[in-house]
Amino acid sequence: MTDIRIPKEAAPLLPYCRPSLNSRSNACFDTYADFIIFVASYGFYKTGKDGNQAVSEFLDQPYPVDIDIFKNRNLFPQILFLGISLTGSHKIVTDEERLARMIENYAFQGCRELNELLKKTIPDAFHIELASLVREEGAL
Amino acid sequence: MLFKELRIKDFLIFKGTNLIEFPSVDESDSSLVLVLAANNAGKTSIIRALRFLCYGDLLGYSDKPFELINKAARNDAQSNIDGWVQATFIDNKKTVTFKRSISAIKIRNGYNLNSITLQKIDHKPDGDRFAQDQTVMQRQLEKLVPKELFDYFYFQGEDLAKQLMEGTRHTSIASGFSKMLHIEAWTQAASNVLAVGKKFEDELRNLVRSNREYHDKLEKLETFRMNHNDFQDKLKELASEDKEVNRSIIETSNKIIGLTEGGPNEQWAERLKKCRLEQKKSEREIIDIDNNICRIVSDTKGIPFLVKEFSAVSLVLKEMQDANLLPADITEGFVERLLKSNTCICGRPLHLVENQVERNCIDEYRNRSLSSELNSGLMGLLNALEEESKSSYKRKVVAFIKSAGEAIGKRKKLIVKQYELGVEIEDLEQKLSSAKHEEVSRLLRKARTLNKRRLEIKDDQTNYESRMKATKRLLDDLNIEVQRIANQRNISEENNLLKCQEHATQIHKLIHQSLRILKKSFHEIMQSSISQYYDTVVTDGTKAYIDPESLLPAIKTLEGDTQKNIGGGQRQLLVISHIIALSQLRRELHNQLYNLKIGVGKLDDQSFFMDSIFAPTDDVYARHVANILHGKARQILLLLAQQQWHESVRGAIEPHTDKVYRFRLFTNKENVKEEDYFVNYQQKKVSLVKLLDNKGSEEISYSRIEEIN
Repeated sequence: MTDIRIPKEAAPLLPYCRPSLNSRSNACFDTYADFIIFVASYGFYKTGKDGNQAVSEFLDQPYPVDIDIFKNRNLFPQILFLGISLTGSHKIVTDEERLARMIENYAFQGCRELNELLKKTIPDAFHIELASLVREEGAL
Repeated sequence: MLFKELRIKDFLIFKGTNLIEFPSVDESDSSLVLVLAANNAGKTSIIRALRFLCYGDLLGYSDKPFELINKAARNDAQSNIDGWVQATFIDNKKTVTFKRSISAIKIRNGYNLNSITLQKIDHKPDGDRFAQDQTVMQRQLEKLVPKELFDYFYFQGEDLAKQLMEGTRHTSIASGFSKMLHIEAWTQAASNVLAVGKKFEDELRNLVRSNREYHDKLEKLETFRMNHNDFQDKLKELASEDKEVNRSIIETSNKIIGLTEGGPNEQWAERLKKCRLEQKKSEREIIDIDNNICRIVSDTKGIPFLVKEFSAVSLVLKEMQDANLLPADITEGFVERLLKSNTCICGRPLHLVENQVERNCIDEYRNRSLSSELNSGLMGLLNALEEESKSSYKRKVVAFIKSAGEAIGKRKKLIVKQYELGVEIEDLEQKLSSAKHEEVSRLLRKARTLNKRRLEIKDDQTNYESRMKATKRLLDDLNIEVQRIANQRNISEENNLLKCQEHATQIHKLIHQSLRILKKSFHEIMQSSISQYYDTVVTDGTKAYIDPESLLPAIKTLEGDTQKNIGGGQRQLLVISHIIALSQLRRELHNQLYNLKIGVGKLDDQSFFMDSIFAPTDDVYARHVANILHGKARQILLLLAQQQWHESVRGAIEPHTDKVYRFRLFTNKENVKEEDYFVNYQQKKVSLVKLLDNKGSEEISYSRIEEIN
């Protein structure tokens, strides 16, 4: 069983996850898995291959998320995408532990970036910032 | 009551028939009859004889009443004997004679009383009438000569003075005055009326007690009636208030209409309303958009950040396809099962231990196989990266970007719109506020309050109406019930009793008031009179005072203390002054009643027998008394002893004497000399004693009354 832990830097962003106890009205993410995959994708986008640095501090709460949850929510292809994209090889796809650590590392990077963004905006408008980010950064 | 004549036969000192005739007097006149007597000639016997006549008083002879008959007459009598006193009175123009006789039966050693009888003759123009009933006669006589006042009318010197000086304590004389002046009648009338009132009250109480049920019902009826009236009043008040509130509502509404109808205010208010609606709508739209944006963000799963890597990853996946790794048709599970079965899928036997080639071949299979999950994941990824695929990442990203852009744009517009609406709302509020908005608001508040009050009034009206209806029903029922009971009882009797009781109370009050006024008037007349005759004569500064209640006299010093020890002359003066004052009062009363045309007879028709009024008096007071005596009372009989008939008295009395009598003492006493018993009257010597011849035998003394001409 492989778990993906939530880095400590994710704490300020947890209110934007609906399962969070102190979730806000403009919370965007239905599950912590959705949140992790979003922030890991952004972290990878922002830091590239350099961003895969081992993370040492994680939150006790929420608990780590089993990788099967990612699979069930059809998020596994994206993990595979990030693994292949990072290594340039398909060999990584069979190593779930490595994939999990990689996701943790990029989630850390993504959280750090979004924390900075959060500081520059008001909490009520953070979802707008995220949407703008998606729109601007994801331009084809 | 005046005397016409007085006859005395063989009674006490008087022997034979003795007569005193009183001069007839006109209504305005007065008369003075003088009786001169020797000392011990028995002049007081006249008054005693009167007492016998009036009341049947045995005058101390109750053991041997026959001794009231003159002793000399008894001695002379051969058989039964009688003595009597007879008086003819004129009272209220009627002449009546009363006669009381005592008869005795002669026995061997003396007499025994036979009878004492009273007779009455009414002298009428058509003849005399003899009365029969002694009790009635006695009552009539006592009415003419009240017992309480006997000593006042027919008095002996100092005795009356002493009685009067006892002051208000002497209730019998006071009570006599009260009778004489009809005060007692007033008091009696008052107490009778009171008794009647009490009787009415008792009857009423009995009637009321017997009709307690009726009264209870009446009381209840009254209570309900009051409640009914209260409700009616309350409803009237509410109706009036309702009218007023309604008027205020119309007035307020008109004002509001006047302030808001037409003009920019109304348009502003309308626009403000719309703006607020739009603002709320856009708020809701923003919320919807925000929710949509959140969903978009979530749905992207961060894929748009990976766009640059699409082609690289596609290449790796292509390579996997080229290397026949993908799709992973042979899975790890298949290889494991194959290895365990030792038979190839084509059916030929496998020799993996001995045959290196076969082992390498199977290992290669193992290396190139993927788990089904991984295969599925990679195939999904491959599919997503296919541009033509319906679920390709590229399409998704385009869709995300488009919908996010639209949502953000729309949101922006809404934000702008909201801002603009906010500005407009503020502007409109400002305009309305600076116009008459406040006044309208105030009026609207007032209208709301008035409407609320109107509803309350309606509630109250409904409430009171239902209560009034209920009370009316009860009242009707009670009325029927009361009527039913009333039919069974005599209400008119109760009403009559009530009226009678009220009248009795009023009459009682009236009598009391009248009596008070009457007594006050009596007192003033008597006080004025007694002051005139007493105060002006005495030299020691004392003053005569009439008690307002008893009308009895008293003497007071300058310091206001009651003086009881005064000289004999002053006492006599006080008595005479009081008699004169009383006569004045009666005369005054008579005149007043005469003026009012109330014929009650002559109230001052009163005779006075005055015995020895100068006895304890010095010359100065005697002269004063003598001077004031004449003309002050309608009829005076003055009994004077020889020694009181001195010059100063004689000078004052003699010219006013209408008739003069002497008591002539007939005696065989040895030491009596006729020459010692002469008095002067109108320059004549009048003898008061006649010596009897039969000296040596038993001592005899008796008197006879003889007129002096």
